[in-house]
Amino acid sequence: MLERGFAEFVLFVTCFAVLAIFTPPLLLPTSAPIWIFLLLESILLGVAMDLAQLLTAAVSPERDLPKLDHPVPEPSVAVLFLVCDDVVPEALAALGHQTHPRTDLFVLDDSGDRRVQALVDAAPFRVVRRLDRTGNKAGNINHWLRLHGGRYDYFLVLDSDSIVSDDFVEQLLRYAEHPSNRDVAVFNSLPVCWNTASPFPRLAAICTPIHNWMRLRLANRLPSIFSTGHNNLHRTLAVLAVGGFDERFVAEDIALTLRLIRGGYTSRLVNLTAGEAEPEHVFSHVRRLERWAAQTIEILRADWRSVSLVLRYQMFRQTWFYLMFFFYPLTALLAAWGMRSTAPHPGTLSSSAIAFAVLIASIPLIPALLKIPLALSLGISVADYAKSRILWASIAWYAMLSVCAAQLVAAMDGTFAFAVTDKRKRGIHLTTIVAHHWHLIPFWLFLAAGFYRNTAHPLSSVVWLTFGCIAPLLVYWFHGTTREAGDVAQ
Amino acid sequence: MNELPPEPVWKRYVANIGTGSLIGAVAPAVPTAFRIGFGVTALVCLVIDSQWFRRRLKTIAQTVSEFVRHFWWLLLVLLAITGTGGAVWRHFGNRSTPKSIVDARTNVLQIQRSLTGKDIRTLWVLSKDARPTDRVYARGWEPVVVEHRADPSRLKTYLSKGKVVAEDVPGSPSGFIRKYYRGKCMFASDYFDSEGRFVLLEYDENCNGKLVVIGSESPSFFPPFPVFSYH
Repeated sequence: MLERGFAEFVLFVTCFAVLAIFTPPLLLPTSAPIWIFLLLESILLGVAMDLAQLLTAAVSPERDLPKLDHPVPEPSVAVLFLVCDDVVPEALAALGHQTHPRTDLFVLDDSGDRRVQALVDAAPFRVVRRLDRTGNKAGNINHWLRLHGGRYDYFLVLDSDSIVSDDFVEQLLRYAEHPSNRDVAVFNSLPVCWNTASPFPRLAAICTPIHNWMRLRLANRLPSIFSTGHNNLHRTLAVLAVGGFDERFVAEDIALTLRLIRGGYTSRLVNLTAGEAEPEHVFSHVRRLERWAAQTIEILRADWRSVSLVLRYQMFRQTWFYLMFFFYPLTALLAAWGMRSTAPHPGTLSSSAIAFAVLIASIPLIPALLKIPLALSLGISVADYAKSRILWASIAWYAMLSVCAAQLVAAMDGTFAFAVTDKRKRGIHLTTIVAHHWHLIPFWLFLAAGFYRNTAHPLSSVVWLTFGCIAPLLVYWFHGTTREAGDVAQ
Repeated sequence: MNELPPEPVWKRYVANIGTGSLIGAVAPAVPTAFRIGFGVTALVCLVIDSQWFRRRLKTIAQTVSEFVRHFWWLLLVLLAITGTGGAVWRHFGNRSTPKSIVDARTNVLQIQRSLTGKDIRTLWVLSKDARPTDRVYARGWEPVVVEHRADPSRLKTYLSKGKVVAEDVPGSPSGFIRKYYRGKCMFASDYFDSEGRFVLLEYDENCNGKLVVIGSESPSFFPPFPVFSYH
């Protein structure tokens, strides 16, 4: 009996086999060095993963969990609002309106900033603080579990930027109390970005409906999904039965999922949306990206026994996504320093050579292009979709070195410091964008030195080279007219 | 407990430099000279700051082994597919195989007989259009010196010194040396003549160092790496 969700994996292997076997002979001359072949295969691997996900979703109907058709007033629920120097006033103000009668609200405040503490204290909610920040978010929730966990059937984890509907708990309980869902320990919701007034977060999150569309079709075909870490309802008994959250890892959500799987429980997706904020500026965005990349590497050290192959494949996808950040600087270094050339004779530089270079650079665009009809059907305009893709690619070029460094540190140090995502707005200038990642300057200078002795290559790499060079400018441009905004959350 | 004592901050910097150097030393993108430099730096750092360095190396080795342990079955599948893709690429890929051998032969000096049996260490390329400072490289070979202006008398001098000499087509704008992996074809030099025709000179090691002209072709399909030498 094949595991649930095996189809996506089979399709991935098929897609990769087709692409990996047929593309190089068509695109690469055999005289090309082996590293160009390997880089092409790496790109194709990512493309195959995307294609497999998209195609599987396209032929799969939505799969929601069964739920009761009436409210369930009996269970007691604790709503945990986690803060760590990053309070978002809009989210704090939206708390406390849940329609479920037996709901208690706790603010788990790990803040060291007095101003944030005062803001939290001023809100009419029960605040729980601890003496230190041991175990980061996992430690904070475990602290609450030790103090109050036994009194609640469920607890809902909200981050400081979470905004959920008033009947969110009530709706989640309809899923949680359904007899078919007894083994489900975590009920995850679909994210929706609420801070869309600023262009940067709006564009960064423009593809969220596409991801949600695919997740609704794929997630519940898997034996379990990884907990999303926030905006999700936890079955208290199940979490306590597996020893609470694992404090050794920053990715407490994945670590908890692994524990739950070993304990015979699952984590599932439900067709409910919950609001969250995208970072307001690129600095915060990159910081979050670095943390996610590092914690993905760190979680590899967790105990993965009993985890099914298809779930491991999902983890591999996630890991590969971050590992691909090494692809950017590596390709650039290899292109600049991996070969030597003299300027080509004008007669030898044919238009087909340029077309070929554009073709290779376009391979990663295949899944993106295939998603355009889906984007249109979900109400996303082509212009917005294109801008969003360009923004993400620009951020990848802009943040490549720091994301790689974060992963290396996580791989080498064993532990790394937890960095809370900055939720504030701040003034954005082109100079600050460049200065913030100043290490790109010596990197590009080093590349320029390589290209000086490799004169012909910039011509065949003109697409990505140009894109990489202007990435900071594009990032600046995508901040739009609000880029001069001050720190409004101070 | 065998806890390591705390170390001063400067040692962390040394460890960072050492780790970075080690990565640089094994990175395929880095030229050999840099790699040697990086490697030496890493060794120095290893001596100066062994604790930090060893700890980091151990941790990264653990991370990599965990990665392999979790995904070994998937990595095997990917490796098999990539290997098949590589074999197909090498076998069926575009080798820019010349179609008109005769044309090329008329354009290139016939030197095969002179080179038979030579101990080849350096390949000298005589190019009428190349700049005296041009150098091209090939994997496992000494730098190839491109001589300005081919001269038959000098050619004989080089041959008498045991050099392998190749001369490209008259009017060729630039040349490059490539290493081939398939079959007997081990070493080649590609040129474009003044009319933009692609000319390939191949050195076949199994034929006792013959330089074999295999022809030219119209650049209807232009290879994406037209004038590079790889190292």
